[in-house]
Amino acid sequence: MVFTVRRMFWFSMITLVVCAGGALQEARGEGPSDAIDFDTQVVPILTRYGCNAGACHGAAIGRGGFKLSLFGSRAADDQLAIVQELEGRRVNLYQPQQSLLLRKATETMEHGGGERFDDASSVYAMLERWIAEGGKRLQRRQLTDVRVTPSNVLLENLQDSVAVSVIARFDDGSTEDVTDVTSLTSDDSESVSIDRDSNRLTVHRRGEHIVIARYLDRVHAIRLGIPLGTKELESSPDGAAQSVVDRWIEKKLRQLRIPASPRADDHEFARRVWLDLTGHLPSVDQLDAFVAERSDDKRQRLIDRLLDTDEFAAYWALKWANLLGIDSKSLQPEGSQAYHGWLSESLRQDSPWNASALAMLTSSGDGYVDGSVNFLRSGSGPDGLAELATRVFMGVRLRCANCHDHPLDHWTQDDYHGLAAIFAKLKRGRVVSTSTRGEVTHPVTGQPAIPRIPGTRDLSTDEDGRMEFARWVTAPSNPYFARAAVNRIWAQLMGRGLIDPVDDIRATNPASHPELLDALSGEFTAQGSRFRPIIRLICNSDAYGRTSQTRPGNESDSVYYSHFIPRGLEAEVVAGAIADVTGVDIVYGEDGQRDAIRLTDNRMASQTLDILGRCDREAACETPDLSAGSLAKVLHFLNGDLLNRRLDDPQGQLTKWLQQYPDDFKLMERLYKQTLSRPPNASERRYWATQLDLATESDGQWHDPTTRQRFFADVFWGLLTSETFLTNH
Amino acid sequence: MRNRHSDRRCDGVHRRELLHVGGLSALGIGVSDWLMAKQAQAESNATRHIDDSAKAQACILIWLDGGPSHLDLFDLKPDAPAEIRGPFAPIPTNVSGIEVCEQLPRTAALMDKVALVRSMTSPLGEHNFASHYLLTGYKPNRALTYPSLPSVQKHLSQSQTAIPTNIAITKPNGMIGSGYLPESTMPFIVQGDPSRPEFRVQDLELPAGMTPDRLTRRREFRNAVDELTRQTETRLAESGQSDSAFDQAFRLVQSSQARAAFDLQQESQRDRNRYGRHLIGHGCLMARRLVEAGAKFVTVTDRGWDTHEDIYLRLKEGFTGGTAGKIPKLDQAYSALLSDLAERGLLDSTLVIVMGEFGRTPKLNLRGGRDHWPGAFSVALAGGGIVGGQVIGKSDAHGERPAERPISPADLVRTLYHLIGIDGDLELNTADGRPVQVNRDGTVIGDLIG
Repeated sequence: MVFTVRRMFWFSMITLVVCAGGALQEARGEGPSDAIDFDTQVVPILTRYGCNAGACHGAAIGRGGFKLSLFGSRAADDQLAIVQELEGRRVNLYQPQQSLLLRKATETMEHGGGERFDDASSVYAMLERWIAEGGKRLQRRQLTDVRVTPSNVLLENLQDSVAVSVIARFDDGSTEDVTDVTSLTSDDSESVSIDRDSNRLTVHRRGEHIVIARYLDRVHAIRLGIPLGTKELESSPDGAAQSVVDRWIEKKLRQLRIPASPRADDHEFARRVWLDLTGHLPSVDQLDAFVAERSDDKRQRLIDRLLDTDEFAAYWALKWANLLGIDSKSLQPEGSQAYHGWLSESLRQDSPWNASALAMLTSSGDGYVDGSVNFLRSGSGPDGLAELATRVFMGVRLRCANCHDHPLDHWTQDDYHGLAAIFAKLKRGRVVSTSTRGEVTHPVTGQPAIPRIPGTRDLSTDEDGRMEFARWVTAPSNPYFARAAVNRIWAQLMGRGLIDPVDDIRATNPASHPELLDALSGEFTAQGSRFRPIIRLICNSDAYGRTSQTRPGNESDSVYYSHFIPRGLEAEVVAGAIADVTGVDIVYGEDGQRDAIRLTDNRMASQTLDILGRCDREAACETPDLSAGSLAKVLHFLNGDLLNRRLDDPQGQLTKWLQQYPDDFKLMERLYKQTLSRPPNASERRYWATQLDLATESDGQWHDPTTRQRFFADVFWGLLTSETFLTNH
Repeated sequence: MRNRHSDRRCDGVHRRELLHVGGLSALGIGVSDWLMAKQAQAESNATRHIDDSAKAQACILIWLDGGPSHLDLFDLKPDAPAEIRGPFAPIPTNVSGIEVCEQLPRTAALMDKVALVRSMTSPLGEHNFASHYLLTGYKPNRALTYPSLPSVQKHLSQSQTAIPTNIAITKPNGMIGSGYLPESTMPFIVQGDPSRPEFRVQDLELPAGMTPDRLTRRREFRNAVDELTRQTETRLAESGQSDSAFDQAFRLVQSSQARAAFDLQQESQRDRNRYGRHLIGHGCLMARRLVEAGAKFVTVTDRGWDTHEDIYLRLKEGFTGGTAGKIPKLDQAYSALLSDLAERGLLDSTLVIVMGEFGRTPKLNLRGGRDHWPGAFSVALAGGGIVGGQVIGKSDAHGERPAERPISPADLVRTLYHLIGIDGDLELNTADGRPVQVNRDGTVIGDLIG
């Protein structure tokens, strides 16, 4: 038996060395005479075979009376649990094979988790040896570095495969091939399958796929791609002039052989950039002037001009209000108004985001007077603030770590409750002030949680926690702050975050274009943490300027920016556009406000905004909804006042245009430019000519003005309810 | 500082955030395959696969959003220590040997119609992931978002009735989505609380002067604008035959009979009181009307089951000294729905499901609440081919894990598909031509359906 085990152990070592190829030398760095190290050799086995996963013994209360730390985050506890708990029955130092640990794992004894490995496996041999050596925690070495190869590989054909090798480096100078004890998870097992005997990854579908490799606390994403197209694309003609954005976007498109759609025409571009930067459609005059302009840099100059408008500050303040969840229910309308005012002023001046963050985290005072104070007035309790702060400034979902260590990331319950403890020292009424008291209970210890900078260090009692956290999070060296900011800006403008969703930044959710995200983050920091330079950079890129029309070969792309991704508009933008183009205002509240984008009280009664789907701020809205329509919205378009009344209004635009344009085609063109920001194209002209023929008398004349009014009201209605009008594309 | 009576769930995440996970490998298709894939999806759309002779002709899902406590509803543990058994005692039902929570007396009197599954188990304890699993039968996957059961049913259903096929009363859990199927299979959402006196489904009547001809013309013009704009652009989500929200709305407003199904004013005061003057009660009443009128799947969403604190207050009283917590309202609405459907002869053809995304921790926490617990939980099923008066499976002494017969969400969902006449092995195609089974990992729970 022992002989078999040993033989199998060496056999698998040989297989491994063959697969690892170049890693041969390093793999031998581990001398066979060294005793097994619990932290770096046993814990990885527990992770690799799922023993310490959240669904098994890694659950907050363990499983079947046996509790391990999630993914082995606390090796000391785990060694105690294995060796000492249950009166030491989990290991049998004299007859290691009789250890519960091994009998359960091989299911020679009943085990809820089934058989994890068999007694001929190398890991069995490793655990057996560790037990025989006394089941100790030697802490012989610490992990310094993990190298996963390949990290990014492009294959040619379906069913091509590649071997994975994972080499760990330790502080005692040793290296070890840890491929066999590295857990490998395919994002999509139908696209990439993993053969654990050979540690080969086989790709079954075209496109780019991710396999996550986890060894101890290190997580690496392995990218595997097979190009979509079979033919190489021609390289971009103006390759040298590309911006940093296009360099990485086009590199990926070329790798995956996805052809890019051509540049959007001036009309399409104008509508897009006006909506994105001001929340308003261009007026027909603005549109015509832009299209008529003859200069090479007119798009660049338009972007600069729009960024300087007051509308830009107002609209992006609304975007931030949605993602901060500014709610007048908890802040009162006065607090909400102050918060909004402060936000739009920051945007108007393009204040550095790190300074704004610092203000939001450390301000004290009257929330009705000082807008930035309201950040700390938001969020329900210290827990809510800890979640809000990490989501907003780091793009991280800390909340999983409330009840247990985060299963997909390195956040622990100590981090969660430690950060909450910082915010617990606040008196939060209309006025926010610091208190010496206030604590939160750590659910595991039952004791007050120790204030802590997440993932970093505990704070001493005399440190100002808010200031320490604010300094840490806004420091240029913080790996989250700039990435979260630029990723959100990118998502607003490009329809999808480089990391998606934008508030779920973690090693196991890698960016689609990691180098681009790094470059943008670097640029953001270099430009003084200001938004406008990044917005300018993105809006001036070829990727932003492409048409949303697909071309053969890129129809299915929604990730690589081969064409512009159409997306929804905020309810406030749609309401404003409807009011603008119909020429009949929508009035809000008793004091008669007319610009929905500038409303600071999100609870102000408005059936229109409710029906159009404004962000309810109960939860943050990172991006506007693209859902085509609830029953209420569609029915309201059909039967409600919002459109019907505005089309028939004697003071409305349609009534005026019917007078102004006796020529039906001129009127048609006006309606198109007003709503879709472009004239009708040839096929549309043909279509409408036919419809006009049907609607008019045989001599081409209208039966009466009412017939004409009704016809164009119906055309206008068709335009206003179209997806084309209701989206940015 | 906590908002104690909030209906929000603890994570406060918008459901669409998870919908966005469809990720890096969404592009799993080659250029040359494109047209074939489109063709395949169109063909799979053309051949429908619902067995018309299925027992359940319609389905009502009462979704208890946030995760209802199995230990305080359907799987009480009176012999467990106080910190586990919680504040409620069990009562007998009209089926000997089956007990439920004392707060469910009316349901207890109908237990012969209800089958309880007490050995549900799942590894997913986060709201969105867990909801996705329960509502689609698939664990979430970064690469592909799966359609929920009602969307699959809508996709495969041939009928284009005046009453929408898939309806949600109040905004449903975000995982009730269309996944890789066309967006037009999403539910028609009735917003607002139907028990409020001022509630009505707004804008059902055509405006004055609007003739059917003009309505038709508007519909044509709207479609023309989008279609002529697109020309070469192909919308993935809308490929194949689609029955858009607009199309469904146009049919609805042109049928007075269908519109009337949304009008609760037509119910007697007695019946309205019987279901209860609260969201879940009137939601169930509307669901019954809609099913009678031909809807195939109605989801009634009741929020506020994410009881991390004060479980006694929230489940029993609602507020201090109150009598209208989550459970009494559920009891009233659910029992009224079952008996009303039975009286009308509709229960045999209407499957009624009561569930949420997971159970709650066996041990009460320091705040008198229970946290997320997917290890063991219960669902209740009735009508539509379910054999009532039985309990399937069993949880262990503390309700932590199944003691007998573990049943996964995939098993449950496959059983639901079976009852409504859809074979779990049927393959659907994603927009990029990837074939995906309706249900991959489940097995039909035979005893439930006799």
